[in-house]
Amino acid sequence: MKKRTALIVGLAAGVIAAAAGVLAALGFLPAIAAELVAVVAFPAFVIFIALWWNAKSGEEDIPFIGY
Amino acid sequence: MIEYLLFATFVGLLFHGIHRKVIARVQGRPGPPIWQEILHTLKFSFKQTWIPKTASQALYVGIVFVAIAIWSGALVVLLTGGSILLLFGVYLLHKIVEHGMGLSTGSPYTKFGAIRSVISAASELPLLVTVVAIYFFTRSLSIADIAAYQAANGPLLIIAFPAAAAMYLVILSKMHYGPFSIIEAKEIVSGNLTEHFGVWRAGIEVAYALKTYVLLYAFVLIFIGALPFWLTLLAMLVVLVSLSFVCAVTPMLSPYDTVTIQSLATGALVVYIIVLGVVMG
Repeated sequence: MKKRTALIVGLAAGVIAAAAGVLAALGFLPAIAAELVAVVAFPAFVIFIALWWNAKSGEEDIPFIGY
Repeated sequence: MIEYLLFATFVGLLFHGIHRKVIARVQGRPGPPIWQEILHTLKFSFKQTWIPKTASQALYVGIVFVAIAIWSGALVVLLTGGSILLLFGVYLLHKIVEHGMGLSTGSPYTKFGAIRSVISAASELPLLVTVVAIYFFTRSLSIADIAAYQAANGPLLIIAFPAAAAMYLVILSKMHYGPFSIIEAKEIVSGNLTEHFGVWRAGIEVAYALKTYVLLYAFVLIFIGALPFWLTLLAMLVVLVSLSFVCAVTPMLSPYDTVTIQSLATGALVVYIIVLGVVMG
């Protein structure tokens, strides 16, 4: 997976969960639906954001790998 | 909701750090700083990440998502005052997660952890009997109703002390470095966690932080009652520190002794329920 893809998926999951919370607070979405969205989106948010900052950008030094 | 999940993750990781610190101080060691587990999780998230060649890729990765999702769901159940049977269901799903995590990698160490996870299924029995005991008093399994019952009649910690003791045993059996932590014992490296490294391990640390937060929160809600937010956190901390003391002074049991003690606790609670049934009709 490309670094950019991981960022997009992670951010999308976070934005969807936050948006569901806002919509529920405004009364446009049942609270239980917003909570279900958060439960499904939160793991994707955590994992993909971590995969994003973990991924190499492709411009690192070549490490010393021994003689 | 996502902000509460992030908060619960942070507090859960902090609780893990406090747990390690208390154990170390009781054992006469300085111990790590209390934010060590937060740093630990961040460290794992920066470590090199890949999937072992022997692993079942879908299960190996998917189990991390499931682990976070089920404890997020459990937190929702608590916050919305849902049924404690749902919490019991999440606890059972966690057992499947532990087992799947161990089997997904192909490593013999993780498989040993997975098998020990199945052996320690006896830890669910006290929880089931606790649920029944609570029903005897409150006539409802809804957390909201249980909180209302306690507001009217006093905490179940006093009224149904054996049930609280059994639930305490259930939480103890899920604590790191505890007498029942046989699935991640050092003689099998790190048990079912051994082959999950990098981002996958960071995800599991997040799930376990949520699990600790949920179990402590559930104990306070079910046996002490609905308290103001900061008082609830304080009560959770007190329960955690008491658990840490037990973990610090108790050696890890052998797998068979683990099952024996949990089964004996269940047996004692069954007798308590029979007595309750006779006394209360």
